[in-house]
Amino acid sequence: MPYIYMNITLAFVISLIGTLMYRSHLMSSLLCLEGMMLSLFTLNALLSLNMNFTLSTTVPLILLVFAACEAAVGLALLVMISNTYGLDYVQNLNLLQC
Amino acid sequence: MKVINLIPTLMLTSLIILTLPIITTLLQNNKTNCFLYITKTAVTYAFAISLIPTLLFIQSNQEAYISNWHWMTIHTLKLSMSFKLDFFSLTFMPIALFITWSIMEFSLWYMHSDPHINRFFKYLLLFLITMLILVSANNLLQLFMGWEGVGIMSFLLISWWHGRTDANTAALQAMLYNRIGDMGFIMMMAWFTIHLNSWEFQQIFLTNPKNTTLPLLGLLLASAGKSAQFGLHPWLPSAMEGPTPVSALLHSSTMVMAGVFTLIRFYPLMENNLTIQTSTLCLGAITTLFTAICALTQNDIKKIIALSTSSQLGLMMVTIGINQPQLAFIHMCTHAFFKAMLFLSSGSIIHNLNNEQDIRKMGGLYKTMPITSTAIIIGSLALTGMPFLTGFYSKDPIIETANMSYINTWALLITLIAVSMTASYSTRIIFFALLGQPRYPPLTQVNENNPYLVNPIKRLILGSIFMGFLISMNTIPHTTPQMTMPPHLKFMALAVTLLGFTVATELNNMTHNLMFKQPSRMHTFSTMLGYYPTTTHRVLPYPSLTMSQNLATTIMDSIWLEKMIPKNLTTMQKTAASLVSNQKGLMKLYFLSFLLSITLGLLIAL
Amino acid sequence: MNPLALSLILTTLLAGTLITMMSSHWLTAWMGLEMNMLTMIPILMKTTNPRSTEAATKYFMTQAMASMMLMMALTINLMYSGQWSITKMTNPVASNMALMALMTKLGSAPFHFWVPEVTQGVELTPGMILLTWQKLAPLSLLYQMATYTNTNLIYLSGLLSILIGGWGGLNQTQLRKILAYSSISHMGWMLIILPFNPTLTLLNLTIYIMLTLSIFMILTNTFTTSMSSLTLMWNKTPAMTIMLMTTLLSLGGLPPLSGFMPKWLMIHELTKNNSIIMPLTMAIMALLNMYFYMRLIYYSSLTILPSTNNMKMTWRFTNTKHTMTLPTLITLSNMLLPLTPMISMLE
Repeated sequence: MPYIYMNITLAFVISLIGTLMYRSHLMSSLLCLEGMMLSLFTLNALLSLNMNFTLSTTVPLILLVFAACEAAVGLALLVMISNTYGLDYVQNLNLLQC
Repeated sequence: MKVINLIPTLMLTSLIILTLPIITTLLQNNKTNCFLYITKTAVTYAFAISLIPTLLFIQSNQEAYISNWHWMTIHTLKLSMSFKLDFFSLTFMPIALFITWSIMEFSLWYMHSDPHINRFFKYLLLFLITMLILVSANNLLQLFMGWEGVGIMSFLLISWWHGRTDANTAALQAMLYNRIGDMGFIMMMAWFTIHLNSWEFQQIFLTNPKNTTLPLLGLLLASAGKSAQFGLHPWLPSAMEGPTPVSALLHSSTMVMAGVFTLIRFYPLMENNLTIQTSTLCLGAITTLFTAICALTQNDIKKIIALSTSSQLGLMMVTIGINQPQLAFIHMCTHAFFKAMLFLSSGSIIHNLNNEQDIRKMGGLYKTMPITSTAIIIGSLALTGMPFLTGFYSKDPIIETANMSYINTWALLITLIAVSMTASYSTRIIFFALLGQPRYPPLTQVNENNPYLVNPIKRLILGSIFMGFLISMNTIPHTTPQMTMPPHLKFMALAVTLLGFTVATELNNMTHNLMFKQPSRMHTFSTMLGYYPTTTHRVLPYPSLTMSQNLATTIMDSIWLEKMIPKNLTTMQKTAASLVSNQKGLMKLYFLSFLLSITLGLLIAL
Repeated sequence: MNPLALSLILTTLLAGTLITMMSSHWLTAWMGLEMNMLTMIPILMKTTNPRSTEAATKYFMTQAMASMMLMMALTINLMYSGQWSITKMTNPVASNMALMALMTKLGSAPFHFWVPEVTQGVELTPGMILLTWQKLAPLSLLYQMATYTNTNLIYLSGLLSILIGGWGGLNQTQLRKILAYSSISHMGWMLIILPFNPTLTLLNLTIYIMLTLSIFMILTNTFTTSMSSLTLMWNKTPAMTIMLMTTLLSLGGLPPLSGFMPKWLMIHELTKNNSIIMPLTMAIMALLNMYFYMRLIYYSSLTILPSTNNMKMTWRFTNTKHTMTLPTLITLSNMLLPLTPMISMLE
């Protein structure tokens, strides 16, 4: 595996771990999601360029589109939450415990 | 020679006639009274028809086998229905039919007030049929069917008055002791399947296998259970709880004879096996002495007769033990007559004295019941082997042969003692029940003028006088009889009997003059049947039952069924349920667990 | 909600699932999943309150995370094999990652935490969609990639799902949570049979969806969300309590009802493949589910709880609600068992 792929995969893994482990602000979690998406975008773009997958060149664009949608939905939820609680702390989301 | 072909046909006819009354119960409502007479008549006809093949056999001395219906084949083991009509079965079947006929006629009188008398007759008939299946069987499976049939019918008949606890207990005892014996029987069947792959008698005897000690020990155990030999004997005295006709049938020609009969059937194997012969001899000797001792001090008239049966069965076993199966068989046949008669007479006495069985409360019956008294005296004399009565023809050769053969002295001695005791307890019955002054309540209405009571007893009296002569006349001895012997051995049988009579008469006379102070230990031992039932039925099972109960309640119920399974499971499920559903609702916690699971999942792939 | 927006959202939701189910290319499948997930958020927040917001956020975070993982798995697969075909997930890392991402979307055992919470946070109708329709897309993907999945992972997750679905439901009084846990354990059953006979997974899914739909519709009819209000259901709709009883028994998998069919066929299939311990454990653990269904039955139809007199009148009023599909669904969810020979013929 070339170093560049490894590098980008590492970026993805770190963002994933960030999503799964970060515990205070919802904003940071959303940013980590975006980071994952971005690393995926780079990886796909590099793959289609390096390996000459001409048919796959649209994939990064589609990914970007969905990343934008996701970011929009995520931000909307963020706004809702900060409206409700005044903060975007993840630990505030504990109404639904058993 | 053409006539010989009639043997199987007529024998089958006679057997089929017996099954007809059973079939009629399917066709009609058996609440009517005619069922009794149908049954009795069927038995009579069956007897009359079965006499023809027997006479043919005596005339031509040709045996017959019927083997025509193939039932099933298990691997290579062929099971078919086959009848063996040889000397033993052809002689025994008319006798069994004759005795059952008499007993059924007697039952018409004895059981006339019973509400379920039809069922009683049906049971008696089934009892007889199963015994005949056993007698005529030519393979082990058929023999086993008869064997178990006799067992189950005796259970039903002994517990006929099932409202009484004693009757139920007695029936259960009979059942349980017979089950112990059945283990031996089944073991023997299994052995023959494994080693010979056959249950047919001809094949078994032709192959004549070596090392038959194991199956024959099983057979001995089975016979000991069925014929109430020492160790498995307590059910026989208890079985007196059944109605008297049942006792008569049980003791004379069916149930208890099955064990001895099966041993006689297997003599071709036994005559080559000295171990088994010795065991049979010792078992028989112990039984005959022990039960004779027990019979000496009983006061219940039926119990005395029952124990005398047990003693006679022991004598038959001794005879088989000295390798004289034919003599044992003849004794079995002759014994059937006088034992049935003794039971019927005692039934007559009991019924007339309003169900009084205690001989101390009888007395002086020879004036009021002449026929019954005659029967009891003849029966007792025949039982003790008085010359030229029926018992003489079998008992005398048995003792002579025993005296002359190489047998262990110990067994011979105790057999002789038991034979003299036979005379003693017979005298005791005669003395207490028939002689002296009446000791029963004065208002008892004694009469014996009902033909259903008198006729069977009369017939059996004739049988008890002449049958021994007839049977021993017409049998060809299997083994060479002892022709010459010193006079003291020749008179030995008679001498011990006379000794018994004398001693008993002396002792009984002493009761007029002497006060009977305190029962001695010996006396208690004898009255309590040697403490055997108390030990085996109370002392031994009690600790094991208590232990089992405690184990069952504490280990099984409390620990296993309550604590271990339901409570433990409940606690486990409760803990697990609260553990699983107790999420804090925080994303960070379950995202962390996602991280762990994902890492583990990827590690599996790598 | 604006009807135009609602129709748009619902169409996109349906279209997303359909796109996923019909595509053979991973990218379109992923796109379908994304559309499905994004439009689910407004549906979950049909009535806006903190609870539904929280549920939507949790749903969004988990699903987005799962989507990212799935995309990563696809990219790794592309890197090693150069193709996007769903049926060819040859790379074990990629296939495991994709499997776990789809499990998260399904809500099976180690990734199940979001299911009860999200279901509890939303209303009955969105909950119904969440527990039924949303299972279709991930399962159809699993069905297609079944040959390249890691069986040990599937068994582990399946058994754990059945166990956790049973244990989790024992402690609940909220009906939506109970149904969520029942969904988790059903997912376990579907996952376990996947390596042996994927068709049975689909059969089980069909029957499960029918049963869950009927139960949710019965509950929606009377707005019942907790056990305590279930006890008063006999006042309003006495006939429906009986239907609820049989449907719950069917969900538990009792023989004369249609819920028995998939369980029976699965156990049969597993034993045919010489696997004895696993079906035994599964059947025993299904008893836990049976226990809490029985508790629901006990409260709804076996006991008559006291209530005020004016409440007892309510069943006499004419029902104005639309219950068109309910009779069909209940009939199907109870009486399908005799059709088993036909269904097993289709395999």
